[in-house]
Amino acid sequence: MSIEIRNLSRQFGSFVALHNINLQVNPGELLALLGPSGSGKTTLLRIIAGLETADSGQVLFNQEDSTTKHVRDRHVGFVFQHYALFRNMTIFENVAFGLRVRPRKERPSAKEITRRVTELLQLVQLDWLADRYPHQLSGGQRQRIALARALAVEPSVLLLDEPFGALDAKVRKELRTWLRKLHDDMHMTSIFVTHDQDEALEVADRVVVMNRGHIEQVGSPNEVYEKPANPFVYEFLGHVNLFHGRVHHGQAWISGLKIDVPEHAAAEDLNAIAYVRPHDIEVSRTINGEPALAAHVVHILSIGPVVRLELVHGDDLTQRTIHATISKERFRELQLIKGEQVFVKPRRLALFPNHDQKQE
Amino acid sequence: MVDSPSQGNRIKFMSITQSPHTFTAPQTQEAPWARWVLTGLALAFLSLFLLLPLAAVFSEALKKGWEVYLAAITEPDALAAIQLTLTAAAIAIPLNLIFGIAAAWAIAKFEFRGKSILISLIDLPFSVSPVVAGLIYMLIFGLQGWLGPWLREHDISIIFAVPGIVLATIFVTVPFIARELIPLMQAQGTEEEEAAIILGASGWQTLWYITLPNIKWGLLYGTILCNARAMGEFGAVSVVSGHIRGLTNTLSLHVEILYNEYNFVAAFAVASLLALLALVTLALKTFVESRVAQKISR
Amino acid sequence: MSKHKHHSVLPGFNLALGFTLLYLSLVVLIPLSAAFIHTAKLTWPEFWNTVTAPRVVASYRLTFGASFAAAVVNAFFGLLVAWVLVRYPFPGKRLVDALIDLPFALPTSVAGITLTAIYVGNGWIGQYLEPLGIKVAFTPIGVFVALTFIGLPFVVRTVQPVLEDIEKELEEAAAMLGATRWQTFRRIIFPTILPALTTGFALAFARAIGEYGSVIFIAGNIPMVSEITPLLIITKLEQYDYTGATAIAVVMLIISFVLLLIINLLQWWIRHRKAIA
Repeated sequence: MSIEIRNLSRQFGSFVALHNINLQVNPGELLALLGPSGSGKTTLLRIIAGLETADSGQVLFNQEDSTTKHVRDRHVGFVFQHYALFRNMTIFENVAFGLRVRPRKERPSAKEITRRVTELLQLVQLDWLADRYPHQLSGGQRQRIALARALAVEPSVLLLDEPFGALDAKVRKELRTWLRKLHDDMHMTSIFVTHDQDEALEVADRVVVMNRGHIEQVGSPNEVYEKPANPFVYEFLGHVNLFHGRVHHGQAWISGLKIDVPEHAAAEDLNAIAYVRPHDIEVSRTINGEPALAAHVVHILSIGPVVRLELVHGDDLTQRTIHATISKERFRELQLIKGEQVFVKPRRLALFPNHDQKQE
Repeated sequence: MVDSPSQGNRIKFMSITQSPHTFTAPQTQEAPWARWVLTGLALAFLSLFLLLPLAAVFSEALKKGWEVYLAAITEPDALAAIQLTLTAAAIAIPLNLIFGIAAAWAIAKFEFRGKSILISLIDLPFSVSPVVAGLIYMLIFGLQGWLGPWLREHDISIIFAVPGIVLATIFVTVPFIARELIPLMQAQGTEEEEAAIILGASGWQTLWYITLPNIKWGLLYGTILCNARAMGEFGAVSVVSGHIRGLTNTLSLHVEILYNEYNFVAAFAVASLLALLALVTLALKTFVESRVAQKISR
Repeated sequence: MSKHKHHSVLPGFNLALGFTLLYLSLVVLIPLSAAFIHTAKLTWPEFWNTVTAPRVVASYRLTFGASFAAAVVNAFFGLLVAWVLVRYPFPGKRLVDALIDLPFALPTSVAGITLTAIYVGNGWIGQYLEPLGIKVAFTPIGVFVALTFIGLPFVVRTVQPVLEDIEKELEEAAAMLGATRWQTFRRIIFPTILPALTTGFALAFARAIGEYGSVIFIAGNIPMVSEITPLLIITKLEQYDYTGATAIAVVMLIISFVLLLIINLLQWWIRHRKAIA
């Protein structure tokens, strides 16, 4: 099933939760709504589900306008952030609920219900917990039961609100992989909300980055990470080093370095900010004839496959911290120790000129 | 204990969510003699004001032996009073139960303007003197009241009759169940209900399968308190009853009549029934509290 | 706001709110308004003369005086009882804790005749007080005793949860900084429980003002001496003086509303402090 959002807006009092949102969700894809808290991602998900109404705009399921359709008739599966399992029912009864409340004519037989619930519990690998109550389960188990319960009614869309938000780090990673696998097996159009960039980038087919009620960028994990559309996306996705500078006719001056930026050939003496990911910082002991910034090492963290360096550039007044990540191999080559001087230069950077304000 | 921010923590002097616990840390503990003196003082005060009266009720009731006691509580007027007391409670409690659920559903599950005013209004009967509660029904249904002439024309009696007693009982017990359910349902939130609706349940199915099972202890708790007050109410009922023996006498009023006739043993015999009711109420209440405490702790 | 009204998917809002308002109006609001509308028949001087007649004023003095004294005693002993219940282990504690609510559960007429039986000249306590020249039953002291009984649970039940919530670390910190137990209580614990204590006091006071059943048996009901205001309303009703009774009732209602407002403000205060902490 495809989902289309057209010109959707929602306000709570004076707070704009969503402003003119347009979005296309392709059949069978796993989409992540990624953003900080207050960005409107959960509101958008709840509007798609029909739990919340929009002030204006439309939600289309398979090109059919479903904006005013009741939740019950939308055939969505919804997994709540805190699972919302029915505490007074066993796990079996929880999963069976959606089938049992159907009108008599559409309700499967008791035998059929048992068969389907057992099947679903096997799918989430928790059939041995059928007679337990939700409070007897761990967070990860509850999450999987919540998913089984949502799938029981055979929804055409699966919506998940911060599905791993309430879990500890280890379970989180496991469930991520598991959810991705489950989706690959079922190929159901799915949307999940998260504030965790790793989660979005690792699990989703496409990522929608949201901020303050707007969509900042839509793209594959690779696209949004490698080619962020704007400073917000750059800063939100992963660690970055931020530099201020100027750009003029395809050339940028950043912290005294002159760098060619042909894509900004038209820029006329503008303020600009540049972002460089830590792994795009090249660290060397000598200048090698090319322009580079002098810095010295203040901290070395060499746990895991990469080595993280904290470098300081500039004198006491203008000093700023630069984070660089280099491989273990390169680290051994350089033989760095704390306090030593090094030279750094950006291998790759993203430059965003400020068109509103000219340099004085 | 979960306090919802919207409504806040109303004082819960009879609340199911209190969990008594002690802590004993040497550096934050009083000297042993001080502990003994304080405990002794507190227990002496409680004995004087709680235990002594409780003992006195039963002692006075049995002063002349079991036979006199049994005779006093099985004479026709006493039996009629028991029946009326049960009837009034049997009407007032279900009505207040429905009211409590409806009010809690609207207040806890939805946002609307004037919510805090509504909550205060529900508590209003607690702060009105029972005598005033009786009086206002006289003003409406009494002979000189708004509806008095019309009622008389149609030969309907409310004041000095059973309906008046039921109305007065309802008035004084309106808040009991609602004020237990509102904070409880606010703390539980709306996610389970939303989940049920998404799964295709109707509104009534959601109420019946999800909401009511989740609030059953709160419902029971409120009902116990409501029942105690309904069966024991004196002031409000006294005003509208007319004190007609065998007809409009509740147990509580019967105690007064017997007492004013200097029939002390009979008065205390009937009073002992009400005291037993109070003890059963406290026992049930403690039981429900411990059940809820268990549920919270596990 | 109406444009952004929360369109919840949960059904039944209109039905539930409608029923709530209807029920509340029929049972509580319309009858209460009857008191005010009925009183409006009186001119201001008539009203004023009714509610300030010497016998009525004497009843206010007794009602408020005894209620205040009872609430003060309850504030002191209620704090003590709550403290002991929260902090000290002793045998039978659960039973004692359950019994605290007896005055809520015991019908007031039962409380009334029982307290009278205890405090009359030959009663369990009366027999020891009488030789000392202290008469309790059928005097204003009796009123005070009855009101102390019915107000007892309020302070205990408001202070108890707050005492339970006090963080042990606060007291430990105070102890380590060299404070004595008494200093810790006065400077750390007492300020923390003060709002709850005040609320409990106000609740006990408000309840006592309206109390009828437990008082009339022990009071003796002598006009100008031991007659409480609610009884005066009944007396006027029995004389078919509806207007007089209602006028006094309106005064009591207004006082109740003011107390209710104060109690709500106190609770707001508690919440506010909690929010800061």
